[in-house]
Amino acid sequence: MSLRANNFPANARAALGDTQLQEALERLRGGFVEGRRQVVAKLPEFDDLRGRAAEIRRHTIAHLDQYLVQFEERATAAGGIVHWCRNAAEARGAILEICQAADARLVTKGKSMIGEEIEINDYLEANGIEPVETDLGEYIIQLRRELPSHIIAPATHLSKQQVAESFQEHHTDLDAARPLAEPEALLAEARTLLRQKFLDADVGITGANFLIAETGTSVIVTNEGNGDLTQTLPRVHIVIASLEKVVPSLDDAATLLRVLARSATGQEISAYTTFSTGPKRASDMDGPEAYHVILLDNGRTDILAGDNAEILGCIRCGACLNHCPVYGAIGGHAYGTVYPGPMGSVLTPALNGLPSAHHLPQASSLCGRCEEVCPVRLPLPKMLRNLRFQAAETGAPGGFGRLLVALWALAARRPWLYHFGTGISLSWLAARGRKKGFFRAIPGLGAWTSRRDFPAPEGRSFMSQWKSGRRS
Amino acid sequence: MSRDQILARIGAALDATGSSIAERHAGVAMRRAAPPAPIIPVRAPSDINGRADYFRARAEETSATTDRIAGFPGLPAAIAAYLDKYDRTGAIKAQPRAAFSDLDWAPLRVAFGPANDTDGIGLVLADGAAAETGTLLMMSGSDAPTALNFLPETLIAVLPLARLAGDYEGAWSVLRNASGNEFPTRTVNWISGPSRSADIEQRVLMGVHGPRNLHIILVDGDGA
Repeated sequence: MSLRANNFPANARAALGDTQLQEALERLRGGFVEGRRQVVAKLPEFDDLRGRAAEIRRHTIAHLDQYLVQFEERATAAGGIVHWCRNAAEARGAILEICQAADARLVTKGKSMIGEEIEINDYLEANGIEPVETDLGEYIIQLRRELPSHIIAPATHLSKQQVAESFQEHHTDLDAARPLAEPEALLAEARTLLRQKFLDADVGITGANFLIAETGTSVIVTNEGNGDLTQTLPRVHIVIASLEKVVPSLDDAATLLRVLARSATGQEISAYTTFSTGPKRASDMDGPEAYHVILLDNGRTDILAGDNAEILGCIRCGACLNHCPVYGAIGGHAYGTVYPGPMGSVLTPALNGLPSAHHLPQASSLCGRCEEVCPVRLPLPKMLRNLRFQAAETGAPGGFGRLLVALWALAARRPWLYHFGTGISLSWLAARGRKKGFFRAIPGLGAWTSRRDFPAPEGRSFMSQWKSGRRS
Repeated sequence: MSRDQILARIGAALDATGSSIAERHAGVAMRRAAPPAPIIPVRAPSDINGRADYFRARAEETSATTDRIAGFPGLPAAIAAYLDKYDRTGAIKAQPRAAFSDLDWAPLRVAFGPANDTDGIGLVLADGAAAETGTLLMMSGSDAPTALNFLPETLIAVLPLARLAGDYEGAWSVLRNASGNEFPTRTVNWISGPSRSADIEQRVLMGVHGPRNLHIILVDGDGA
């Protein structure tokens, strides 16, 4: 996947000044965050379900080899073909081979983060096959050649005007004067255009929310029905999924589904949850003749062997993005990665190596909201701290920060120096800020004080007050 | 080759946590033999009328419309009334199910067969349902084309009450009992409301790629 994570500080500054983006982020808070709060309040068992969901994910990851082999056996018995791929190049190669064997010209796609991760669209295009995203948000960002800015709402950073501009630019067969101001008009245009693509496609590619070992089944969750038309109408259905998507049984999937949509969009359940097992049966009236599952490693086995293996339990609901104050301030693109937000800041360095993404674990106040809302209770702050330790140990760049910490450590090991230093700075700050009780600006901390005031200290440290006997 | 390498890497990583392949094998077998009891939300009442009411309320929250009739002979009239109320006209494409083909459809125009892009109204029989979220379950088969659940602008789903379970786990058993060795079929669709999207400015719009309208008619008894 292409990484621009090293530009994070500059990207974040630009995002903070982008008024259009800030409006879009405000809408996200109103939609997903408030929606989640309401549906969770209607389900007293929600916390118990989260506990069970966490247990299911931990158990599966701890027995991953067993469940993958079981999934392969059952999927094969149902007539499916399973392809194990170590990396993105192998997965792209396997997909292209299937498409070429089917003589495919047009491929429709359901929304898939793995598809983004292996950049399958560019690869198919380069090989003369037209890939068409069919999720409305994915379709919009495909036209604009952008990365998704959110793992479940890929075009959430855009305004309806921007979508209208993209449709004007790309749908050149249509009357340029047609009204496109309202979302309804944009939706109707996309529906008509994509309906024809569904009917014409030779191959349909979907992701998988879960793979079920017990039955060899892949599961997709959508609201639009695009994934279903993608995997029902073409002759060939390809599922692309990373190794950790597997779960033991249908009942386990039901438990995870009870927490997934509630955490993601704030719905009790998404409009469509579809279970696919093998290709169409001989007597079936429709469905694909071939069913392939691409099982992708691409760094997952490294993660499993590392400190942050728990991230493999993630079910990609996006709740940690929606509730993160950092994501909420800068949006997804600033991260420069396929997976933004807290889960992305853990996953990206684990997948791509810390040196290329060392800013990301720092992009958190460790406030803990991500862990509070995670449907599988991932300890995201702990994992971010693990990565910060690793960055410090391996001497990853970040020179100024390291210098400050070194200075602090120098003083902290010498109490006389520490008290001397804090005494000077406190009395200086107190003298400067005594009148108002806070600072609007502090030299050298302009970036911090431009958005908030800094409280002025009272003048003496706790230690010096204690010593002088002032204990109340 | 990639398969063996991937499995070897997973095995090595898990071995390093102190487990062995034999223990993992036993752990999986043990959980399969005695799976943890599912945590099932206490929601729909257990009596059939209460459950039906609960299902209808949840389905209507997803923007579906619902109706309940006493038996299959009343189905054509109920459908005609629904289409009339919302001023929806045109031919109906129905699953070629025995439960539908024996009915007297006139004056409605009903054709039986696979789905086409031109089908404006679809008529399908639900194989199961879960009251907890107003969810229908549909299996693909020789008399149930999956595309008919998605291509028409208006989908009318008929749910015999005997197939309505309280929760997802119960709904799976209804499907298993109905299809035996064929379970799961190529496709099982859980449908909870019409097609929707909030991808443009978080505004919820109906009928993105699938049906804009979903109407569910509950029929007393087992119907089929």
